[in-house]
Amino acid sequence: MRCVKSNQLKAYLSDDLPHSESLLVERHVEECSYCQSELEKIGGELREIRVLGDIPPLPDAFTEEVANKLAHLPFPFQAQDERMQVALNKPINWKKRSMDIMKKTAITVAGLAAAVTFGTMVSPTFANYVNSLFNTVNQADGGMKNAAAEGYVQEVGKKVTDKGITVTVKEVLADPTRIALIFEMVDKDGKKLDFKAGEYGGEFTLTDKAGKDLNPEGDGWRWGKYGDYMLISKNLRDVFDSAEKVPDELTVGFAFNKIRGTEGSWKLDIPIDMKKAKEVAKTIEINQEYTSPQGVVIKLDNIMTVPSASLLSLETHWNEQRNKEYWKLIEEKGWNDAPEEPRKEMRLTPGEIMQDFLTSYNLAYEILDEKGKRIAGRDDTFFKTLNGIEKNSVHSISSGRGEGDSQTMEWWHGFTPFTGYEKLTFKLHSIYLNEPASFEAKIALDELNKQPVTVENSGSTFTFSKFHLKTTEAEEKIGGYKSEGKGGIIEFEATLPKDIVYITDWKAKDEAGNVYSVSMDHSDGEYIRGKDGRVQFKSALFIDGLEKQPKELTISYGIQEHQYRDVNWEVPIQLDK
Amino acid sequence: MQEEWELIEQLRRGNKQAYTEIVERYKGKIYAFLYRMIGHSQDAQDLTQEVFIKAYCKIGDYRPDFRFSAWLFRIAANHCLDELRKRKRLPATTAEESELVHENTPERILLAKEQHEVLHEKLLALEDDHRVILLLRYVEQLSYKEIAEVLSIPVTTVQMRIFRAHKKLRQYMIPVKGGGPVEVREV
Repeated sequence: MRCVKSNQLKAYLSDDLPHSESLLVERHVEECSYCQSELEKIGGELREIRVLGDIPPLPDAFTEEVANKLAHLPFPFQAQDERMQVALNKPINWKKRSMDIMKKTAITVAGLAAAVTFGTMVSPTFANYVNSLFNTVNQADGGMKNAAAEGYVQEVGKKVTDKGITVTVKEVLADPTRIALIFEMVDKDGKKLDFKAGEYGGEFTLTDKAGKDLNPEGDGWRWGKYGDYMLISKNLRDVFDSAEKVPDELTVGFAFNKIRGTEGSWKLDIPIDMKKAKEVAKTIEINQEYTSPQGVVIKLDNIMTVPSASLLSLETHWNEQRNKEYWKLIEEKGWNDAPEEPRKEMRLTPGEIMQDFLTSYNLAYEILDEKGKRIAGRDDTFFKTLNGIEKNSVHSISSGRGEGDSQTMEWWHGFTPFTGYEKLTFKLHSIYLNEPASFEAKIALDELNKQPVTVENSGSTFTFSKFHLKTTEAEEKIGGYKSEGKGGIIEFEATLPKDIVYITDWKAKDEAGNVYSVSMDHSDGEYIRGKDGRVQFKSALFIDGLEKQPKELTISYGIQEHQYRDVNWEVPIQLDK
Repeated sequence: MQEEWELIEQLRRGNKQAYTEIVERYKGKIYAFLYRMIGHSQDAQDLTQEVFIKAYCKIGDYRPDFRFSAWLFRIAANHCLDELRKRKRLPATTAEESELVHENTPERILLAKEQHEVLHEKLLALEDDHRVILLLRYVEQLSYKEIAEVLSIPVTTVQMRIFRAHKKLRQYMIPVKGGGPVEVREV
């Protein structure tokens, strides 16, 4: 018998149904023999399709690269056995597992050896460790020093040598907010190799006792110079959102494949006992919420204090009203221009760029003691000196992530531990929101080279002083400003409108209508406030790709960061009863 | 040549080299599939690597009643769709593809015979769900049943989606008749 829904099948096949209805039709056909026979009739007419287009080749080393990565993974069958045991709620026999690994390693083909260590576990002790590199090297942050002083740092001394270069893991610092390792690298003559960015290659892994990869994306490891050493650290808050979720044992595996430009293989696993640091972690739940006059909702979740830091967790989003206004603006300006079709180039549309700017927002706040004295402060504007409230902030363990359509953000900010205080106060200082700006200045360059030109527009005052043409590709310092590549440089001084602390989205257009991308120099950017509180600074613009001096240039910026101080929110925090 | 299950058995016994043999055997196919899905060679390369790593971790779950290539495509398809969803980004056509201008050479006409041809970059214009199904069917030559297993959807849904994707593609197709003059409808 004919099915009443077969018309819907036709509509489906002509792609005339909305997505949700399509799914219903798919489900119906699965069970309806009439529709199935209709489908057979129509479907039988389909012709083969041949897809044209060459596939670019894979690099020769592809298989080898995969093999290298596999060397750090737990043996798959074993992991499965353990998974099953966990599923069956049976304790895992670790002794047996090590035996299995040994047996298996013995028959492993050379070159693909599983990275298995039988070394002693690094376990932080309470012994005072004043000589720790985490305490003595200048670059150490307050939290590291504190952790070292309290004994949450351990000497390791594990070494691995290849191509004449020896890598030694000197010390490890670990607690629920971070893991940091200090590496020393020496050449065959025992000469210490100083860290130079870009001359290293390799990977770091974080696994639990069962060999499970806890950071499968492999990201979030910071590499940097640390005195004569190299410091590698990872913020743990983005892997575990509470101290309890941190496993009692973690293993950091490293595999360098390039050191100071020399290719080779330096691999080691460092198992770390997290138990003690977890035990002393204290989390104070706060859960207070505030909505600013601008419609920014801020929720202060909690503060976790561990040996190397106090970590403040916040959540923010925009309220409905603010979101509505934002979308109204986007529609009005025609910035809702994301392409329906696939992009020809991986480039955002002008509207998408504006959306990106307009949805980023930031905070500034202070942590005060009982007498109202600032013991810590966090300020996320570009030029922190403008407010001078940033204090004891540990940026290496601060991070954030966003999701959803209402500009929801989750933030965690690290500070030198708030120890020795019973009561503190969280005080919101500012909210920074980006807004569209329409500054424009038309400058005749011949005039400019004779005398400075002052332009007042959109509440800003700009005095452009000099124009230079940079005709070389290499990095060069012109008029006190360093830049790379060919282009034009314009020096200027500016006073921004009231409450505006930063401007961006610069463009330049010449008399022929050619548009150039422009960047503002930040290196020496000294931002100060004038008597009226307005922000003043001196800097230079680099007009990328300008090869000869045009007659005139129209300089513009499209985004300004507005600092809102009309926020009034204080939250008392009881640390220790 | 050893069967896949034999290689897997060797791996189970601790010979990791056996897995590199699997990588060698399938890397081209998986990469080509991901490249056609995502339209960018570096991204496709990275995804291919991730697929082989994922497959390695999950290899204990493989059951021989599934064709190994279909099992691998299941991981590749899911990983790629997840990635596209995560990035909320449409596949990009880069310079690599834009340079591919096809001429109707006699060889190509002969090859094409009764088929419909479509340029890769046009395929990229389809929705992810449509593209994946057409690639699995016409490039990888998987059966409807296998596609159903790969994508965890009923066979009837596979048929329906293939038909609909076909229809969507039609406007981009170059119909070719065996040996006859080539008519380019819309490219």
